[in-house]
Amino acid sequence: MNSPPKLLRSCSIQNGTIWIDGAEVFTGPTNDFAAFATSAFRALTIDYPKFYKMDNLAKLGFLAAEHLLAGLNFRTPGVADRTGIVLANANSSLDTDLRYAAQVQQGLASPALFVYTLPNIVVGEVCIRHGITGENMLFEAEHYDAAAQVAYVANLFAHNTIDQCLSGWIDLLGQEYRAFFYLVGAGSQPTLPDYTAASVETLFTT
Amino acid sequence: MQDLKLKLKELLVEHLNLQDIKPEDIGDDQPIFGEGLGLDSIDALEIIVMLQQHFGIRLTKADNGPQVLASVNSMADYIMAHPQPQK
Repeated sequence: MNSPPKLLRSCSIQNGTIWIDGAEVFTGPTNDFAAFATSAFRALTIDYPKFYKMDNLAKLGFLAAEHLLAGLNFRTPGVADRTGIVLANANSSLDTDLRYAAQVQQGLASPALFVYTLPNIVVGEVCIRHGITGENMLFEAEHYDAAAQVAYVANLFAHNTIDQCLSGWIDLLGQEYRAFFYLVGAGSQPTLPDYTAASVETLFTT
Repeated sequence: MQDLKLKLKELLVEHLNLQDIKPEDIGDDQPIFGEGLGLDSIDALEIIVMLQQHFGIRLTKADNGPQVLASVNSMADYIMAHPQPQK
């Protein structure tokens, strides 16, 4: 990448609402994540029955990525493997781990639930959906650390590992959830924010 | 037998989260995998657990699992041929 990376767009999901670049694009049920996720998915009017088989963390990531990456095509030679995904969360896959543990105690546990007892499965679901094959990572952290994440992603750019990256925060436990995804890469528009910890932190907190 | 097949279809929809499919949409002889309902290997494991949970059926490789799980008809036939003692 010749020019410094820019923050191209962002998506945030919290409390039954989806925002793209700060603009509200969808509102749904606020008291039940499963109901919200189903209504948000149906509003997309896409044919992807696997969505219904995902755990709640993967559904949250799928919805955020679907909005963030709308209109973009990564299934092109030289693009798929040059696009990275770097995310972080606090509660790992605990929401599904607890459901699975409860099933084990009752005797027979669901194999379909077991496959989601790892937090980075959400990254895999996004990669499968969008054809992304580049570097990916999911960090565990008590709180979102924009500075650490920006430093990591900037290092991938500096070492010419990727040309663009889906990055941010995705966390879910019970009815508490937050997704904050942003796309960083080359951008020619002068109004686009530079990719700095401060600019990412501003997007995360607003 | 028809009641058993309907029960199997309802369980498939419930256990496999087939949100856009109604039990009555599944044909008795419709292939469950591949071009049929488009299920995958995880779904196959899910069906094996479902059969054990609801019918006490324990499938092993020697039981020709792929043939048993091929359709609602084949599953129903297997369940009828392997009655489980009441608990």
